Amino acid sequence: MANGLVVSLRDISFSYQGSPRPALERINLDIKGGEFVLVTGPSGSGKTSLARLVTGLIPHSYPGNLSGSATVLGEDVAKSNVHTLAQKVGFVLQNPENQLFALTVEDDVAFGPENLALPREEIVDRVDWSLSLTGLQDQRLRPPFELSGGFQQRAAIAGILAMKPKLLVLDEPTSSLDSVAARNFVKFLTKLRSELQATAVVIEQRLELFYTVANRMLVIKEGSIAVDDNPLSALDYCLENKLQANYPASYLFWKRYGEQVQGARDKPVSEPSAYVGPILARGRR
Amino acid sequence: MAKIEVIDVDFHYEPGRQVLKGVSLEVPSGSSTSIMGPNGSGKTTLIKMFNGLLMPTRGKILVDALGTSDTTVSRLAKKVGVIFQNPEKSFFSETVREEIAFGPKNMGFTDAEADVVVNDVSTKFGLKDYLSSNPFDLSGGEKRRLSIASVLAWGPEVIIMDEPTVGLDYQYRLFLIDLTQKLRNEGKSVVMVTHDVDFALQTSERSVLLNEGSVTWHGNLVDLLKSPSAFERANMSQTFLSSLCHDLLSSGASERSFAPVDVSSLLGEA
Repeated sequence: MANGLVVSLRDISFSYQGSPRPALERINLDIKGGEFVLVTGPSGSGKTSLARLVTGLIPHSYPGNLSGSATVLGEDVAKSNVHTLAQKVGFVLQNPENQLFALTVEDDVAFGPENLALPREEIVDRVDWSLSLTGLQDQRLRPPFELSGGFQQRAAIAGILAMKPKLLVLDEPTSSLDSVAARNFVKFLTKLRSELQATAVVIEQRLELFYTVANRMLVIKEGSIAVDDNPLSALDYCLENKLQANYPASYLFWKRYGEQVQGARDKPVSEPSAYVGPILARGRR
Repeated sequence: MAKIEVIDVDFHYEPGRQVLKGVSLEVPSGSSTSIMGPNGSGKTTLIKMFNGLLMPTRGKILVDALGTSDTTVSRLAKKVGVIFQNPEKSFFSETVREEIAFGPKNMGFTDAEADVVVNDVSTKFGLKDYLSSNPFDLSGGEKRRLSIASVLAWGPEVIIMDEPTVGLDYQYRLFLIDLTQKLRNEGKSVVMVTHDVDFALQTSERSVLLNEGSVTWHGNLVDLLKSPSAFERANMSQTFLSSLCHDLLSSGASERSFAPVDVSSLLGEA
C-alpha cells in the first residue's frame, strides 16, 4: 500500500466455471484510501462479481478462469486466501440471511471478533458499539432468523462492523431497508467511514440516497466499467448515452429545471420546493 | 372482480407478541394499493392472511365476502395470487414450461388449456425462448418475471407482490410499473407491499401505512401526498419525489398526475 491504493485491479477478466461469457472483462481500477465508491449497473452486469473479487471469494470460493492482477490492501488476491482477506475487508452480502447463523443476534455479531482472538472486554465493547450503531440493541437476544428482512440486514452489517475493517464492500445494503432506516444507514456509513477511516465500495440501485455523498461512481455494463467519474458527471454520461440507471428523482428534476432555479446551476438542490415554480409554469404554457 | 375486506384483525405468532393490532382496511376491486411501513411493521404478515396462509387471531378477512377462516387455501388461491419476496427460492420444476403450467394444472386446467396459458404468459413476459430452460439458469430479472408469470397463469383477480423491487434494476422497475397499469386496465387489483416510497407513488392510487402492527393511514394516494404528517406517524421518511408532489399539490397543481404519480409528465416528457 506504499502507493496509497486500497484496491488495484489490472486487466482483470473472470469467467465462472462452465459459463461461456466472461462475468468481468478487462477491468482496470484503482481505489485510494478513504474513497467512497458507488457501483451501479443493470442486473447481471458483473457488480457482485467485482465485489467477490475484491473480497477474494473470486477465485477462492467461486472457481473459474481469472486473468490479470488484483491487489487489495497489499494482498495479492490470487495468492492470498479468503481468511486473510476477510480480516481486512468487510463484505456484506446481498442476501443477509446467508451470513447469519448464530442463535442470537449478539452471538452472531461476536463471532468475527472472537475469531480475531481479541480480549473479552474488547469483544463486548465492539458488540455493543456495532449493535448501537445499527440500532439493534433491543434485538440483541433474538434469533436472527426471526427478524424481519430489514433487521437481518442490519444484523449482517453489525457483524461486519465488529471486525472494524479498513475496506467495506456492501452489496445493495439498503435494498431491504425502509426509508428511515435507509437514510440512517447513509448517515451511519458516513460517520463510520470517518471513525474507522474506512474506504467504502457500495453497490446500489437506490442512487438517490448515495449520489451526493459518494465521491465516485462506477457504472458496470456487461462485465466492464462503462463510466468511472464523480457521480454527477457519471449520471450525465449515462443520460447522454441513454444507459440504463435508476436516475435519482432529484437529479432528473435538476437536469430538467435546474437552470430556472437560483443556486442550482452547478449542482442539484436538495429542497424539492425549488422546482415547483418551473414545473407549474410549464404546465400553464 | 374480487375485493378484500380486513375487519378489526389482530394477529400474533406467539402469545404476548402482537404483530397486528385492530387492522381494518379495504382493497376495492380493480384498484392498485401499496402497503408501506417500516421494517417489521407487519406488512408481510398482513398479506399472508389475504390468501389464507395465516388466520387472524381475532377479527376476520373477507375475500369476495368469503371468510378466509372458513374457505380452503386452494379456493382462495383462485382469487388471490401472492408473489413472495425472493420468489425464485420456491422454483421446483425442471423447465420454465412446467413451472408456469404447475399452477393452472392444479387449478383444474386441462393439458390443452394449460398449453394455451403457457404460450400466452410466456410471450407477455418475454420468456418464450426459455420454455425448455431450467428456471435456475435464468438471470435475476428473468426469474422474477417467471415467478409473476407462474402466478398470473391461473388468472387470479387480486395480485399481491411482496417487496417486488428489492435487489432488481431499473429496467425491471419500469417493467413492474407498466405491468401494474396493464393489470388495472384488465380490471384486476394489485397490492404491492413495499418500503420503496417512490415505487409506491408511481404504481398506486391507494395507500395503507402500517406502523408497529396498526394502520396509521388508509386512503387515496393524493390525500396521503397532501398530508406529510401521515409519513411521520408511520415512522417513515419522505423522499425527494413525495415532498415535491406535496409541494406541487399545495401550490394548486392538478391532481391528475398524482394517482399514481406520473414522473415523466412532471418532467414534461409525456
